[in-house]
Amino acid sequence: MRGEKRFAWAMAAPSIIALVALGIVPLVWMLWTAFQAFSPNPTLPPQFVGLDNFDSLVSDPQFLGSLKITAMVLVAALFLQLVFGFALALALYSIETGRALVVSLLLIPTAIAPIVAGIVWWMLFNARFGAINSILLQWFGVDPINWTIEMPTALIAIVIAVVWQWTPFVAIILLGGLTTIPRDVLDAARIDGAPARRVLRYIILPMMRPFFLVVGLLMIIEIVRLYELPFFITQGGPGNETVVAGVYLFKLAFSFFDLGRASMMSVFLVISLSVVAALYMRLVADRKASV
Amino acid sequence: MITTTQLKRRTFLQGSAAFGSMAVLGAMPNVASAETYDTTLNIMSHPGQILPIYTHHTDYLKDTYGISMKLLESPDPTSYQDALKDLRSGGGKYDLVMHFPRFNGDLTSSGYLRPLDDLIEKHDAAALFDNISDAYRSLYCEWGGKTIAVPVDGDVAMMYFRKDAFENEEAKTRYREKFGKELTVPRTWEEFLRAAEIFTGWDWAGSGKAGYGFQTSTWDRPFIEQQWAPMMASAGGNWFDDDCNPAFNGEAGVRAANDLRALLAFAPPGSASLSWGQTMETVFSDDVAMVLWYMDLGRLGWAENSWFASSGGPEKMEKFGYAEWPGYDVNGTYRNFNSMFYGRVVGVSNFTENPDACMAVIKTLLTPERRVLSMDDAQSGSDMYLKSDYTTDAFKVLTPSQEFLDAADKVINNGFPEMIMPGTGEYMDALQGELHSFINGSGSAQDALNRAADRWQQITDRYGRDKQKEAWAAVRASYKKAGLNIGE
Repeated sequence: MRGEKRFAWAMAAPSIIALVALGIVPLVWMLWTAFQAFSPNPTLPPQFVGLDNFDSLVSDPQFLGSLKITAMVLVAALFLQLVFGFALALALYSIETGRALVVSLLLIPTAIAPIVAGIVWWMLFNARFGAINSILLQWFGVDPINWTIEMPTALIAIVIAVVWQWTPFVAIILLGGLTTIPRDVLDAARIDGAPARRVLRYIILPMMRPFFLVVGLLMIIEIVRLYELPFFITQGGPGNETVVAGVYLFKLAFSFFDLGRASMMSVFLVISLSVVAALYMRLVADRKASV
Repeated sequence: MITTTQLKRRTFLQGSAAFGSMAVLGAMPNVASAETYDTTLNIMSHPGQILPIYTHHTDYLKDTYGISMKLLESPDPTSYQDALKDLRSGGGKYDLVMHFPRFNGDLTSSGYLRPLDDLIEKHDAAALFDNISDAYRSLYCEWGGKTIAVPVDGDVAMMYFRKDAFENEEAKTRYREKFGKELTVPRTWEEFLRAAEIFTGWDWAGSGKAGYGFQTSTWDRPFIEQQWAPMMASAGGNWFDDDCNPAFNGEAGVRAANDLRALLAFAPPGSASLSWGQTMETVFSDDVAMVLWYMDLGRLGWAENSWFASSGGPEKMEKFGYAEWPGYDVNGTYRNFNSMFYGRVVGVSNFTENPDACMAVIKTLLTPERRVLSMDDAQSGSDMYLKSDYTTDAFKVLTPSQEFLDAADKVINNGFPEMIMPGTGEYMDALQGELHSFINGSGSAQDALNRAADRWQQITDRYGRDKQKEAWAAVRASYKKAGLNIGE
């Protein structure tokens, strides 16, 4: 018995070591640095400053602005991703043959590196040479729009790019959910004469909740740490009006080398993300209870 | 047609350049007896068109010094971050690093860059350093009285104008009727605005399309600041005052910001969202009369295989004239500065174990007959920075005109330099955000600049006001040494 335990520990040890080295140690290091002030001169040692970094952040208009912009992108993009993703999943579900090929093609946006997607969307949104303005002008007679340098179009451009990149992923997860719904339940509802709208509302959606929960949480995490798309599409402009949390965090850490405030911002984001995730789960759970 | 006066001038310039090159070459150390190092250097370089600065010398360095180069590419805007990351992680990743000169202060005060003075003496390289353009030498190669970097790309922006536009009779008439003056190549920003207005909205080029007066990039945030800052300095402003309080948000800064925003009305529609590179597309395709652009255009725009060629560059190059940036008349005194932003320099890491080998590379980069390889290359982004570069004799492949090279020489010696202070990245980020917001249409220039100034005060406090004052005093001293009358 003891030998078996030892063997089990030995087998698990590499994973535990990797988890501690790559997960726990950096996390503890981040927590430690969040309470230190780092001099711009790296030859000077950091100093413990308690909650000064937090106080400094909450009085920093750029930090607060970045949270506001991130929240706006999160609400708009998450809603659109779930709606379009579910519609896409339903469409895919109805395809009898060639579904695998369509799914593979749909995953292309998600498979593209965000940095490449950012550059592509920046070119598409270019006011002078971009395809989007060209289409709007030729098909609808719309005057050129300065997508990337004016508000709210700069924000809309970011949301469109985020939705484009991740909606296929959402659709694939939800398609997986749809395939778990027993066919006979749907057939029974249909035989009983239930209209499609009621089948959707009272059978499909309730049974899909776990999948909405998982994919919603993944998307919340993805959007909160968004960096490449806004960085390339708008460079945070006009002014700093589309500087999302990820972009500001990068600036703090690697442009300004203000590692203390950057770590504190990371801690803040992790805690905020946990709160948002809890609220999202509660929202879904409450609805489940009310069904 | 070449006049007698031009012929004499050209002959004189060619003779002077040949004499100068001989003097430099004569003073150079004998490479035949060079020490060999049998080592590999890790060299951080900006990518793309900047790589030829090194790759032209791969075989030469191996054969002459036994040095192999491992080129580690780092994107232009973030290369200094990679250097500082190297420093924070203990150093030793790079032997030589490339960066924008604006980060000389950060990289030197943090102890990352190694002073080169002892190596210059040991390797008998003083003559090579004396051949660096005076402005570049004093403004971009020194920090705290020590030599800490060498140029590898002499980026300076000049004014390119369409000669056919200024010779157009209808344009002259329109200008005369509207402003009661003769149309000339602008000497002041007021004249520049008037000319831009006159060339906007009609077909002065005979292209069948409406032409425009001006082109810039306001999407690329750093390029707003590089357009605005020389205007601000020409109007009498400066980055800081003597006590290290922001001095850019006074009358001069506001005037420059308002003029820059006004100029956008005379740019092609939608051009505010263009990147810097894309502006050249509109210059060639939409017949923009005036543009403030880097030396690359005049240096390699004539080449059939340059990156301008796809935009139709060579055919249109003969229509361009060259001039310094306009300036301002302030209280009866005229002053102008050209933009001297974004040149590239190379420094030696303090953590290198091969400082002598690094110096051998630097000497190679500065030796005129080696250096010219990367300048005389249509695929290279390395513009002139040596005194011996400003003559057509230096070029064997490319065909820049002497008129262009003469203008370029004037421009580099009257350039408004990048602000070089510890924390430059943070200072500029604050300024760029506010300028970007204002230029693209919201609020007043004064409010935008005041907000940036408030942020600058916080940054100065974070870096330590006394130390920043000290650094700023050194920067001002470098202005004086370069003969620049900034903020006085």
